[in-house]
Amino acid sequence: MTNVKSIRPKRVLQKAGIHAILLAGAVIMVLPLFWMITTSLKEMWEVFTPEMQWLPEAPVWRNYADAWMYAPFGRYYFNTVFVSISVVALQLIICGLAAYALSRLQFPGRDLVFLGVLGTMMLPGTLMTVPSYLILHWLKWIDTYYALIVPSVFNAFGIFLLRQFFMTIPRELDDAAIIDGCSRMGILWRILLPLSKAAFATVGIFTFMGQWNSYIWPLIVTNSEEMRMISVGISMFKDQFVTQWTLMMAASTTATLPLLIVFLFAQRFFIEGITLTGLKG
Amino acid sequence: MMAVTRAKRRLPRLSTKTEQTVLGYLCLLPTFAYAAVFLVFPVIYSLVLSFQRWRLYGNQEWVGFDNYRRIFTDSVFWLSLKNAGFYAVIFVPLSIIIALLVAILLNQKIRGMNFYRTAYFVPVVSSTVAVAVVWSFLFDTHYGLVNEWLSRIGLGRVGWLTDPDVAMFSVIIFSIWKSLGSNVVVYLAALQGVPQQLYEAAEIDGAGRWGRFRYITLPMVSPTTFFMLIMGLIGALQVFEQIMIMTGGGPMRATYVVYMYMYDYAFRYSEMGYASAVGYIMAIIIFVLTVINMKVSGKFVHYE
Repeated sequence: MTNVKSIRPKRVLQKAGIHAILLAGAVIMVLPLFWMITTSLKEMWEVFTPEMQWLPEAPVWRNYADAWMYAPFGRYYFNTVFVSISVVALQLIICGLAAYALSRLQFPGRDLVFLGVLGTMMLPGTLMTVPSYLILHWLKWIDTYYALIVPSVFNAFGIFLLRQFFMTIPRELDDAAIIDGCSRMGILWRILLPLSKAAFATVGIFTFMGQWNSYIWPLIVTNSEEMRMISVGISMFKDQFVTQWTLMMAASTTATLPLLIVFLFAQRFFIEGITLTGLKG
Repeated sequence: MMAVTRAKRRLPRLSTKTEQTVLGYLCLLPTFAYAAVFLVFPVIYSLVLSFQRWRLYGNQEWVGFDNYRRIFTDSVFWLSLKNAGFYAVIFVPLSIIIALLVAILLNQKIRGMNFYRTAYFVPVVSSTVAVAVVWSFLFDTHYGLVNEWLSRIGLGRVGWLTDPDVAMFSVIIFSIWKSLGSNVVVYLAALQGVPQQLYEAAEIDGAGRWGRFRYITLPMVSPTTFFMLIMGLIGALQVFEQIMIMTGGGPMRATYVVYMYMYDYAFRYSEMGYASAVGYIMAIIIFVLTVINMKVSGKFVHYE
């Protein structure tokens, strides 16, 4: 007992130290976003004033109105949401079907196909960019939604993740369903899908996040303002309004906030997803 | 496997081999169609292209190894490769080490773990381009928060994005900030998978804090570390977005990386053959690095 007592103060001090380090780190992580939001609500002179101001004297909502007037953020939002949702939906269908075949059906060449799917993850973007662009160029898809959606509908990692998840669902359930007259595709629809909602949600959320933030590909395959996705819009905005920091921060907040809100509500899936990706090694 | 054979015996009618084969390939049809058009064809076609000279709207002309010869004698290519390599060599290990430290701290049954995890994860879900714009502001020489603080503690202003000697480090700082949270969460999962008995046994054997870290934690999370190292290197060698936004490759090409080099040739000068050759060189470099990585790491990685 005396032992415990003598250890205690040391433990407390240690915990306090850990909290101090973690808290400092957390501040560094969140501060840039805090600064982005407060700056977006400041007057220009408040940014250029020599004394640093944490908060604006009065929030200047006009910055948002101005930013939205100078660039069609509504259109960017629409494009981004439309493309992201289309990609997520198509990916989930394609990945779900492939994962079902690779986990539940026995057929020659199955393991080879699975290895092939995994192998595609090794193909670097630098290699695929030019030929993929050319294919879209021949299809006359440049500057259309097809160019933004179709090349992204495949997700090797999504197939892998769903397959691994399906493998953990006992096959006895399939057998029981078949005895009850369920078809083979019915197993995917009625048994695997309801039991792996979390896995589908994870793949979906990560794809959505990736699409929302995608930059290089939309930059390459779109030219007109009406087809721009939000990241490209922001980068163009930055080139146009150099040093107009309040406007630029309003634009950046516009691009970041929706996803942050989604994250706060669906945190579990984000964390689970990342965890699953790590277990791959 | 056992369950399957048993099921087969019990229900021979319902799971014939042909039925499963047909159904299996039907389910894989969309995957195959995609792979044929957007994976297999590009890999082959870009190899073909790399031996041609072709401006997008002109004639395609065979030039043998000419593109490769031009690339290897172009000092800008080597510079861009060196810059990408420098970025990767600093960024990847640093981000892994910091992530492991944070994860270990978070794993001390600390209160408020969910709060910290959320805070560290916020940059991960933020749009790269948008937060790169924010960091450009933070790093601004005259009105940026970073220099503001430096000058407060009596240090001079640094040209974070305008000084060629500093710019790449600024990009690296940004990248660590942006990606730390995801690595932390992965490490946390790995740490929680380490059996507690190992630590208890080591403690009984008299192992100190460092000993437990060195001989239990490190080997037990080594597969995770290895995975992060490989994926991190592949990603880092192809860094593009944050550099495009924060420095545009400057100042004086100090942050001009190889993906930008390829991008410029493909989409500014429309030299599709030349750009394809750069893409192939990158793919080969990445492939070789990955193989070496696997060979070397094989000795250090501990799999259960």
